[in-house]
Amino acid sequence: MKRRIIQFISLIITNSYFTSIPTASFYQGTLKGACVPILNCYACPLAWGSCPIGTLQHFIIVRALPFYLIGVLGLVGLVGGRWACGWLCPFGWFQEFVYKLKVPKIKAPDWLRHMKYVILVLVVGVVTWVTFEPWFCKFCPAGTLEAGLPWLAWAARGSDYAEGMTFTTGIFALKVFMLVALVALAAVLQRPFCRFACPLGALFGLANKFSLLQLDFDLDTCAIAYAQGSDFENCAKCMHCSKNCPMGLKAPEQIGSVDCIRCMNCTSYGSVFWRFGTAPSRDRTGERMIAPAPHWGTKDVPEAPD
Amino acid sequence: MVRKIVFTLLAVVLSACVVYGLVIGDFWETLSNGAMICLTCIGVA
Repeated sequence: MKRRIIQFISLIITNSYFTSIPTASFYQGTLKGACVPILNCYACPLAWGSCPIGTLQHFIIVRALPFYLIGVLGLVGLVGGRWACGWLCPFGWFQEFVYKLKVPKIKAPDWLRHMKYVILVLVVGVVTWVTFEPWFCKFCPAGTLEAGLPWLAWAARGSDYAEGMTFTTGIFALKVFMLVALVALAAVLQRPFCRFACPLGALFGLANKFSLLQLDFDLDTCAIAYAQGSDFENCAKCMHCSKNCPMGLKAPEQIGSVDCIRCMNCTSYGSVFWRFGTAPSRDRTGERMIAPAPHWGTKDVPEAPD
Repeated sequence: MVRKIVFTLLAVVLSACVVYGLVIGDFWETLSNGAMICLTCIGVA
C-alpha cells in the first residue's frame, strides 16, 4: 500500500502540468531540461521533465557525451539500484494494474530477460548512432500511452500545437499495435516491459550489485519457517517470498539480481530484509553472509514454538 | 573499507559529471530536445 501511494505521488509530481488539459497544449518550460529517473515520455502533455532514454538518444544523435545524464542516472543507481523502477515509474505501475485483471497467467522463458540489453545496445545505441533517429522512442509503448494517444486527443480537439500531425502513418499504427500487444501481455505476465525491454531498467540494474540499498536474507527471522518449525523443508519448496515478486524472481537466492526492482514485496515474511550501506551482505545478527542458494533452509531449521 | 572507498570515488565522479554537464550546457541541450515535440518520435509525421 505504501508503494502504491509513492507511485501515485511520483505520477503526479512528474505529470501534473494540468494547464495542458483545457488548453490542449504541453509544457515547454525550463524544467524540461531536467531528466527524471523513470521512463516518462517528454512529449506527454502533462510531463514536466525529460525522459532519460530520449535524452540519451538525443545526445547520441548530436554526437556528444551526456555528462549530466550519466551523473544523474549514476547517482540514482548508486543510491537505490533499480529502486526507481519499483517505486517511481508510472509505466511499471500501469503494468502492475493491468496484471490484476482476472485472466489466466503464464510464465516467460528466463532468457528473455537479456532482451533489454540487446535493445539498449542495438536500438538505443547503434541504430540511433547510425541513422540519426531516436528509434527506441518511435516504438516505445510508454511513449504511445503517455504522448501518442493524448496528442491524438489534442488533435481531435483542434489544438494549434497538433497542427501538421498525421495519425494515419504506418509508424503510429505500429506504435498503437505494440502498446495493445504489451497491455495484452501485461495482463498475463508481470511487468513484461520492465523485465524484457526497458533500456533504463537495464542501466539501473547494473547498479544493483553495488548500490547503497541492498536486500539481505536471514532464515532465522522467517515467519514461515518459524510457523512450520520442523515441517519446514526448504526455501525452494516454500516460495512464499517469491510469490508476489513483480519481476518473477526467486527469493531469496535472486534478491541481489540485476532485475530486482527493490519493491520490497519479498520482505513481508521476515526472512528478506533491506539495509542501507556499503558493507557486504550480513544477516540480522551482523554475521557475514554467503549468497543464498535454492536449498537454503535445509539446515538449522528453527525449533517449532511450544 | 575498500567498498566504502570505491563507493565514495564513484559518488564523487558522478557528482562531478553532473556539475560538469551543467557547466557545459547539457541541461539546455536536454531542454532543447524536451521542450518541443519530435513528431517523428511520436509517429505522427
